[in-house]
Formats: sequence, C-alpha cells, structure tokens
Amino acid sequence: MRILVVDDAMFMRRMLSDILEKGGHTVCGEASTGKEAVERYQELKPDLVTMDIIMPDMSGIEAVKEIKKFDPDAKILMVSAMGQQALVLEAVQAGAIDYVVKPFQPSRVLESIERLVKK
Amino acid sequence: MENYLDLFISEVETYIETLNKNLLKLEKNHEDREAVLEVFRIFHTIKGMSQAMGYDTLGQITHRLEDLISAPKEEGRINPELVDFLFLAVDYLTDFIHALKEKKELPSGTEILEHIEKVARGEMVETLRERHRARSINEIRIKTEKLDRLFNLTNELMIQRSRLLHISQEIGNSELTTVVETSARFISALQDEVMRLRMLPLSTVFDFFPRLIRDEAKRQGKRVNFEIVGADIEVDRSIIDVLKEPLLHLLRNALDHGIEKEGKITLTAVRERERIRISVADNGQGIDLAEVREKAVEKHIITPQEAQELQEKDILRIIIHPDFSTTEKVSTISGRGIGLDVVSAIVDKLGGRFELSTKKGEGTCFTLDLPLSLAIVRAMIFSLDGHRFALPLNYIQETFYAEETSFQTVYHRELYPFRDEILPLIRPGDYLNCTSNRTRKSIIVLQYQGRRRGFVTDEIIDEEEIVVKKLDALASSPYYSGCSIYADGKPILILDPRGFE
Repeated sequence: MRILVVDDAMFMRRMLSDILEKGGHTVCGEASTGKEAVERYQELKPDLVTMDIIMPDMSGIEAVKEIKKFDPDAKILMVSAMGQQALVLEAVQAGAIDYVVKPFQPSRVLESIERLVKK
Repeated sequence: MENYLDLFISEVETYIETLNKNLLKLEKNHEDREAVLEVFRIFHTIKGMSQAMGYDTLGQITHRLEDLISAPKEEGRINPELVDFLFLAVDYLTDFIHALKEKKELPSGTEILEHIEKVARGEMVETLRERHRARSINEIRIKTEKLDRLFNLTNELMIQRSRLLHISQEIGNSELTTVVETSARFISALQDEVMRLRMLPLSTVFDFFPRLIRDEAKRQGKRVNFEIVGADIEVDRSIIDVLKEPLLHLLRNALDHGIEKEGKITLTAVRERERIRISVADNGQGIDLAEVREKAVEKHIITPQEAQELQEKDILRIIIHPDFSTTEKVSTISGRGIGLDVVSAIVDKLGGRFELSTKKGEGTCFTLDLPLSLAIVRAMIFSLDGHRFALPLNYIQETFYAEETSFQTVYHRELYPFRDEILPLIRPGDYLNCTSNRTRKSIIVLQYQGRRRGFVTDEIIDEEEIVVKKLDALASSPYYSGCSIYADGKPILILDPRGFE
C-alpha cells in the first residue's frame, strides 16, 4: 500500500514510516501540516493516510474534511497522542476510519491498516 | 530506539526555542491566542514523542502541562502566573535534553510534577513567586553556557591583570603604574560582578530535603522536626551542583543514627566572608567515644594502644575511614560512618573542610566549610628544584623550616618530630622529578581527610589568589588538581596533596 504520513514532528514521521515499511508498505509521501497534507493527497493519491490531529496551520480534523471533499473514498487513519479522545471522535465523524493512540505499538498500527484495507 | 534518539533531541531542542519565544510573547500579551495555541501544540507533540521513546515521566509531565493549558487554549488567553510557571517547565525540558545529550542521569520529574499539581489546584509555588517577582522587574534569561563564556573571559583578564601589575612594577614609571593599578581595580570589580551572576540561592538544593526527611522519618516511624536556616544565601553554581549528595548523606545519617524516636534536625547555612559553612545538626544522643574506640580497634583501623589515646577531636578521622563504615547496623553507633568517607572526599575535592562536634546526650553536628566558588582559590606558591607549584590554602595549617638532617626514618617512612607529634613527611619532588640537594627545607603542614602530613619543599615564595583552570591533560595524574597562570605569565601547576599518599 502507498501511504501518506502526516505528523508535525519529524521524529514521529520517521518512526511511523519505519513501522509501515517494515510491515511491507510504501511511504509515498510525508506532510507536516494539515494544509500540506491536503496538497500532498491531491498530488499523490495515496491508498491510505495516517493523520496526526494537533498540527500547525490546519488541524488534522480540518484536513480530513478537506481530503474527504476531494475524495469521498479516502482512507484515513488518525494517529494521536492520548488525551485528545474527543478530537478523535470528531475526526471519525469527519470521515476518518480508525485511530491509533501514541505511543503506538507497531503491531497495532499494522493491524489497523489491515482492517482498513478489508473495509 | 537509539537511532531515533538524535532526532528526538534535535527536534525537542527546536521546540524548546519555539516555546521560549511564544512564552515571551505571552508575557507581553497574555491574550495572544496564536501563541497559546502554539504552546499547547508543542507540549502535546512532545508528549507523543516522549511516550514513543519510553520516557514515561516526561510523557506524564507534558500530559499534565497540556491539561493545564487546555482551558487557556479554549479561551485564547492565559494567566500570567501560568506563563511564569511554564518557563520553569521549559527549564526542566532543557535539563532533560541536556542530560540525554551528555548521556547523564535524567532529571527526576518529581518536583516539577508536584509543582504542576499545585498549580492545577490554583496554589502558587514558593520559588515561582520569587522568580515571578524578579522577572517582573526587567529580568532577562541568559543561557548558562553564555555565562560560562563570560566567566572564562574575565578569568583570562584576571591573569593578564596580574601580569600587568607585575610588569608595571618592574618598569617603575609612576604614570604607567597609576593607569595599570586603576585598570586592575576595574578588572577585579568586573570579575566580582560576573561571579555574582553565577550565584544561586542554596534553596535550589535545600528545597529538596524537607519532603525527603518527612517521608523517610515516616517510614522509620520517627517524629522529626526539620528546620532550615539560611537557604537564601547565594553560592556559585559549581558548588550548588555538588552539594546535594554530601548533604543527603549527612541528613540520612542524622535521621538514621542521630535521632532515636523523636528529635530535631537542623540544616544551617552561614556565610563567613568568602566561605560558606553548612551544618547538619541533630539533638540525639551524640557519638559515644568509647564505642568508636571499640569499633575502630575491632576493624583494625587503630591499635588498642592508639585507642587509649583517642580523644573527642579524633572521632571524625576514625568515622570517615572507609573501613569503619562497613559495620553492620547493630548498635546506635554502627553504620554511623555510612557515606561519611564519600562526604569527606567530596569536601576535600571542593577545597573545603569537614568538621564534627558531638557531645554525649546533646547531639551531633557535622559542618562543611566550603569556598563560595571553585574557580578562585587562595594558594601557597612554593618551589621544588627551581620549579614553582601551588597548594590550595585550605589544606595548609602552618609552615616551618627544618634541616634535612633532622628527619628520621622509621620503616622506610620519613618522619619529623614536630611539637608533641610525629609528622609523617611526603616529598612531592620524588614524585614530580624535581629533587634538589638543598638541605634546609620548608615544611608545609597539611591536613586532609583527617590526616596531617608534612610536605617537604625547597622554598615558600608567595601566597596568592589564583584562578583555577582544569586541564584535561592533567586529569589522569593524581598529583595535580589543575593549573593557573602566575603573575609573571608563566603557568603554574596546582598540586592535589591526596595524590601523594
């Protein structure tokens, strides 16, 4: 699967990318803000997006909405640090399919992706 | 995780900068919505990163900080006192990253977490109020590295100052001498000011103890009235950094062995000119001389005959002996020495003195007599075969002349009958390859770790305040503690008497 990784921390993007690539996926692009995520999505048309929630300029939730507007079938997995459950719910309402809470277990991330693919 | 560490460090460092920038903005305008959001977002991001790295405490701290800022984030404004507190939190973060970089022990988050809980309950933390007050009158924040650079530069200037004075005296031009002497005064004043910038109140370390004593006393089922005096006295950062461990040992000792069921422990700091005296006193039973005698003989530290002559003033020398401290805890006195050898070694290293006064039935008081700064020491300059060396004055008790012919040798050890004692002699020249055939010697009587020794030197030249520089090249040698530049511009090595045992 071609995956777009969105997180404001390079550290998190690196970690997530490593997990995904070890799991046999391809990270086709990265974005560090909500706006960038929307642009990269339109440009790359990835199979899946992992989306952080709290980011500068546009929040992950806004980005989910924008991406969904552009592609109603977009598959988005929310990845968020704990403590923002309310936001995660909001994201799911906006069209995200699943979420993983940081600190994530590699197996948990990959499982969620498998589930998303089947849906 | 190791390969993520560098990324973690560099990214958090960038965040620290952004945090500081935004907190400064909020200090000026606490309704800067953007800045509040940014601060919230960064703590949130760091939380996620710390948890991923397995730094649970930092994760917990940033999690609680995020909670603290979630209401301000909604309101778009932040309470100035909270901003003040967040600066402290950023300081912790800075310490944490520094420890990671230096591969040192990570700072404990207990204190900052306690503070967070207090702030969450709407209470102000003592140190905060002080910092707040200070900052409100135009305080600026300076990185300690910058301060250290400034400090090093003024030290270089101090060295040039001595040279200038020396040279102008030699030239003897009165106009030149006046200018040089005036400049010298300004340089000294500058040095004083810079030294003062590096000072921190003792409360920086002392504040850590009340909680510890309370918890430990509770654990042992004792009732302890703990009092701190003089916490606002300021000392150099270099001293602050190393004070915690020895004080911890002394306080533990007082609690474990000084106090039986109920009692009082007092931690007192007093400033005496350029020195600071910090003492830990308990009102327990005191140290029993008879028991010390018995134990010391049992442990082969002294002979039964020496024990007969042992007096109150010798107790310290015995109980700081490393072998003394290994006793099992069977009586009130055993275990008295735990850690005391460590304390004594640290005090020596700091150029201080370790003292004890104890009275049966009235209590025990250990005192650390320390310089206010480690960077400048008063030293005695002496020569060996034409080479000059320095010895810190804190080790020195007195000096006298002696003819080599009056030295005595017993079991390959040179001794000198001095007043009513036999003074073991040490010839540093033998270790440093500077032996001379001069027979009239200057003996410097040193005291360290409870021992008295006579240092055999050729000639005593001067007594002077010198700026200590650490030299890596010297670190592997036990004989030197550092070096300095003498008034004539030539380098001079500072001896560490403990290296000659």
